[in-house]
Amino acid sequence: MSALGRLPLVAQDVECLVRHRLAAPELRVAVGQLVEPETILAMAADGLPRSARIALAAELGVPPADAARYLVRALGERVEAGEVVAVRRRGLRSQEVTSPIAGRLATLDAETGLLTVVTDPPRRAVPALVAGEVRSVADDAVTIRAIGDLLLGASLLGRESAGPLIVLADRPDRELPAEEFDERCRGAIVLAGMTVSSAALRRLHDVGAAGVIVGGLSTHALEPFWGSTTPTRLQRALVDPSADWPFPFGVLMLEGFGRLPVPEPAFDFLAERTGRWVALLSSASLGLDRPACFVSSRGLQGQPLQPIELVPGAVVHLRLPARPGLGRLVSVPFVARQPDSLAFRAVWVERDGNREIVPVDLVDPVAADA
Amino acid sequence: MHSAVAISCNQGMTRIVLADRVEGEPRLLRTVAVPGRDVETGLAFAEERFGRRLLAEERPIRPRGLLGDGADAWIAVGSPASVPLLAVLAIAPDPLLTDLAKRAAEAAMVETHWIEATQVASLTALVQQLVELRPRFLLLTGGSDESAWQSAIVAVSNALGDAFDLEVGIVIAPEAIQQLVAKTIGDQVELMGVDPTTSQPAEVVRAVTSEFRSRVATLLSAELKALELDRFVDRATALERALAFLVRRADQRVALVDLEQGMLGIWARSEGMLTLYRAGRDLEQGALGLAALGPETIARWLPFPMTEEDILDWLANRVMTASPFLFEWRDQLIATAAVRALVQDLASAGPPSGMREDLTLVVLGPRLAWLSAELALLCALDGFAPLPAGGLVSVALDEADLLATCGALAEIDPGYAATLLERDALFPLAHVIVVAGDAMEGAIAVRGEVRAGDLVHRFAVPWGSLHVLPFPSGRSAELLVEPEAGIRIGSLEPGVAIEFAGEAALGWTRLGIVIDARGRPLRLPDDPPVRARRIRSWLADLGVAEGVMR
Repeated sequence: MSALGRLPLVAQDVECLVRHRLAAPELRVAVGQLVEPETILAMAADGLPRSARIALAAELGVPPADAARYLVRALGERVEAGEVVAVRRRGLRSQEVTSPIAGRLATLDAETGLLTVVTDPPRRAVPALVAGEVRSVADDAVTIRAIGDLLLGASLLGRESAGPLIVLADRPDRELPAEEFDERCRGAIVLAGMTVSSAALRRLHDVGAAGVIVGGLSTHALEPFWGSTTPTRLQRALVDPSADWPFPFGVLMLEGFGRLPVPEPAFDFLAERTGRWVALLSSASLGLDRPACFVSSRGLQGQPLQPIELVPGAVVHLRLPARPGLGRLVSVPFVARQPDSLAFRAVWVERDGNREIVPVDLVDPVAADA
Repeated sequence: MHSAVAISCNQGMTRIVLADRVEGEPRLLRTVAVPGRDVETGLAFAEERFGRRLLAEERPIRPRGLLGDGADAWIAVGSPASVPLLAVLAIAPDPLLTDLAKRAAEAAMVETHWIEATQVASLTALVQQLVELRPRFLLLTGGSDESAWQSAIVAVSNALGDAFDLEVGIVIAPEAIQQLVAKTIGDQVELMGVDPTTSQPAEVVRAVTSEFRSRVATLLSAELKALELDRFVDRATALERALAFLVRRADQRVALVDLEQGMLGIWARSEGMLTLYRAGRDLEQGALGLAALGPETIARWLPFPMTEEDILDWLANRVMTASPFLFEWRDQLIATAAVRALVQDLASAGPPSGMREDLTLVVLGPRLAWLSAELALLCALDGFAPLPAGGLVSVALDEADLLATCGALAEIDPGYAATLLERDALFPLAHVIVVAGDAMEGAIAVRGEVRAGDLVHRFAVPWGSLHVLPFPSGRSAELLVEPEAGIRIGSLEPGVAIEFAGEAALGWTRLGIVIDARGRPLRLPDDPPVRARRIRSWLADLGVAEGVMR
């Protein structure tokens, strides 16, 4: 027997610490400053610097100490990918060495003859995404204390974003045609319904949506953008939020992959907040094990986000990819043994007149209030 | 040694195994498995479940106390949390050396990335490729073309600068080349070498594989350092050792499939052993790796229609949820289809045809013990498609992960490990009589009789079907199988009957005796609806209810 708790699927007026990790930032905010979602926290590098090493001496067939003589571009200069950086004349022929990437010629090591080209990642303005107060500022992160309402998701693919929420789907199991995604979506976080097709994703890209919320997303919808490498790239995107993603906006899946309706409590939560400013935040930014949709409020006091005790009678959302849905708890958490040797925390849940054991990790209490 | 605790540490599952002497004999007392790589929770559950204290002040209690607390030996077996990356750099094309490197890498339980130096556009591209890969291990192989080596080593040296943390480099090349490599990069990385011109190919493979495996075990020990265990053994070595024992002891021809972290397949017989590992292909975090097989190869084993899109979504959800649970029948059926496709793919790279199918025992690793018994059996039969010379193949489950445990324990006390393995390691799932040849669908292929005590059951099995002959728990059964004209049992001559009677009587298994009269090679209809019906009929033959096949 255990009074084990779980974070609720939805929570109102909760206090969250949103931590923005920044690379090489030029900060624009200070501790104690109040920020709006669009407030720029810093100018920061968009990703990590990338470098290429050119085996210059080896490629030219000269001693490392002599390699510098053959450079045709000075150290510090910018070069494009494929641009010639060194030339050695051999009789009637010229031997050329090109840069594999665009960047700046950074160093030439006289001992190894190694030329390093460094790509400075583009810098971008990093918005706060949420309204709140800056609680801490460090070399690599800004933390904001924010009050608002929270909806837990299953996975956020792509980058974090924020914008006014528009609810285009009229019911949780609706899939909208691409034409429905029009100018209204520009700069907005769009509740698109059950899922979006590749045509809809392309349209959302074209109109400049800030983010998308769906019940599920089919891997098939990504194939036009990733081609045959879709499984490999998706695998990377699932384990590494900084992995490449074909859209400038993020997609928050509330259930998982496939054509899965938006959970009803989540649909109602979002519908009630149409027009409000919402942010799609990664699990890392929130310090949670899942991403979330956060709706900033103007309140000054919020409740800490806390697990809710799993007690019989409570309505829960089941995150079973094969059969997501709502159920009612009929037990407290216990250590299940199925088969005999396996031990895991589980609860008995009743839905559609049937009882089933569900691992606690896949159960979200549905709570209107924190 | 009186008692031992083994911690089996894998990507999606942690198991705690407790063995102790019962009436003087080493026996499995209990095993506990917890989802995830979570030794702390595993040990806490184990203490609760075993009713024994195992830890004191977060350290193992040793030796075993009078009341049974603690254990005399504490071992860990498994893999590090993330599978180490091995870059194989093939420098001067040499098919023999390339084959040696491939065999060594495939058996090492590492993720392998191949680079053919001759296929890389420039030295700079090679440097860049190595820098981006950041391998933990490097295997350099090639012939004696010094100029090719010179360039490649410069590239390695340049990549090594400050770019990544290479733990070891192994060179498979003649001695003079090894010296050249040592001279160039010997002060940058720990190097080892093996000369293929003075060593037998098998020795080369064994030496390289052993070195990588010992590094893998070291990584595991670094992760579990705080526990101060007695021994850390990599999973492949432990499983190989256990299978070698089975082969020696009972002259078995064994195949094993293990899905604890990626996929491991081992074929073992008295003539030798072949181990193949595929990183990033399993039913959890590596599930999307199965897409490389082609979703259609999974779909063809399903009893219901499922689009390729839905299969990819299912695989993606497995990665996202990273949960070992397969509660729904539909999930179990899809997982079974995926495992069959995976095993088939692995087997196609396994031993030569003929040896590959001539098996007397198929062992399914602990992850497959969670499927229903019927589905686990199909993973073995359809994946390996055994065609035993003598007609009989047994299928067993390593439910408690005892093969790896015993293989690891053997480093401390071989006698203890051997007894434990013999007594408790394998749970018998089924004895299978494999029927081959050619016949009309539905025509009687074999007839026979099974006797268990006073119970006598006569049967006739039509071609194209599976037939289960259950027999009572705790009893052995005598079996006579007579094929019709033109039908073979295993690789016996057509029409030759087999009998298991007296001392050769068959021991109890969970499913009983199964007559597999589907022929070899196993043929699936091309037409999807017909094929799904065929799969459904095989499932029904094994007793799976029609209602769950949707």
